[in-house]
Amino acid sequence: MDLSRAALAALFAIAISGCIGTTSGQLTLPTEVAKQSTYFVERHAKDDRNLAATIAERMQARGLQAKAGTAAERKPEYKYVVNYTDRWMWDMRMYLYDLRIEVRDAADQSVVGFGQSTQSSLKAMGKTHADVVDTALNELFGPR
Amino acid sequence: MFMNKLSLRSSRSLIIAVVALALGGCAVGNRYDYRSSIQGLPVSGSGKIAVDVVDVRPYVLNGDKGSDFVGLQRGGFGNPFDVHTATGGPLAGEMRTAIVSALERQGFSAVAPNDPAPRKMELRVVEWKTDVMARMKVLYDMTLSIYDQQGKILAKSTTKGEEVLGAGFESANAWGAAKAFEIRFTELVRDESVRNALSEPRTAL
Repeated sequence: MDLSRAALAALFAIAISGCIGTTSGQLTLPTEVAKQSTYFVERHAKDDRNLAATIAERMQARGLQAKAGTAAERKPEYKYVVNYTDRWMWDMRMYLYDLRIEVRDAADQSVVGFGQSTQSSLKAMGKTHADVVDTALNELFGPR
Repeated sequence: MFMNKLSLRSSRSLIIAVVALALGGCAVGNRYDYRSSIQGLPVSGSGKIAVDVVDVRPYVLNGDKGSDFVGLQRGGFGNPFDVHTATGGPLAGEMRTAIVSALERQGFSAVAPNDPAPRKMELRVVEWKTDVMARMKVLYDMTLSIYDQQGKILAKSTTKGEEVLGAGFESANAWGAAKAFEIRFTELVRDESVRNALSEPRTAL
């Protein structure tokens, strides 16, 4: 009986390792400053899915003034630049495995915050790109 | 009967090993890279700065941990495994590499600690450690000092505390740790007296 329980525990430990999702992040801006600032989400050259637009749209949904575009389109009035690194994996479909977002002062590129979201294939099931972006943004700006 | 007992014990040991591996297999041998952790700084200039990072972490000075020790990664039972620098070299060295690269991107010319320069920057690390299990705790106590070429102190800023961030697998933890260091060092440089001391006009050597 003990052995059966131990075996079940072992199987459970292995099974739940497929449901892993992790997040981390931090923002050094005071809340009011963060709310009133302007953000430019800089789309990188390999972003075929225009994740930059999704990030900007999810920031706007939080009441933040955010716009997406290429580096050439960035205007001086934006106070902060938002960069991101997206990693995709294949498991019956391409899914967003890891998203890392950094917010930097547009004037000198000094960091003011970061947010990160990683999810396994099982954890990512049923989630849209916007959901993953929201998870990373929650680490930066707090939950909606 | 003896063989039955042995088989039962072996099976139990095997199951415990499997559970431990499933829960903590990724805890061993982690390495974090701080060398390119700083991308920008809230100060710019054109002068020469001698840069030094001094590791005075008590457990490094007394030999309890090596100079390449950067924190702990815990396994499924909370058992700690040491995390080291990516290069295997001292943490102070990796931090210095990051600082030098960032200063040079901002227009400064960074030189060796004992080279003559109008300004000397010293980062003293009393504590820098990450402790990761379900979440990452970052413990830090660092002082940034700016000296003139005669060794007179011009500015000093300190950051000390502990924070709990999220955690993940090795690459996410390494990135989180590097970001945490970048944020803390940026905070030190953002101090007004430090920025003034670095960007004041001075006699070039």
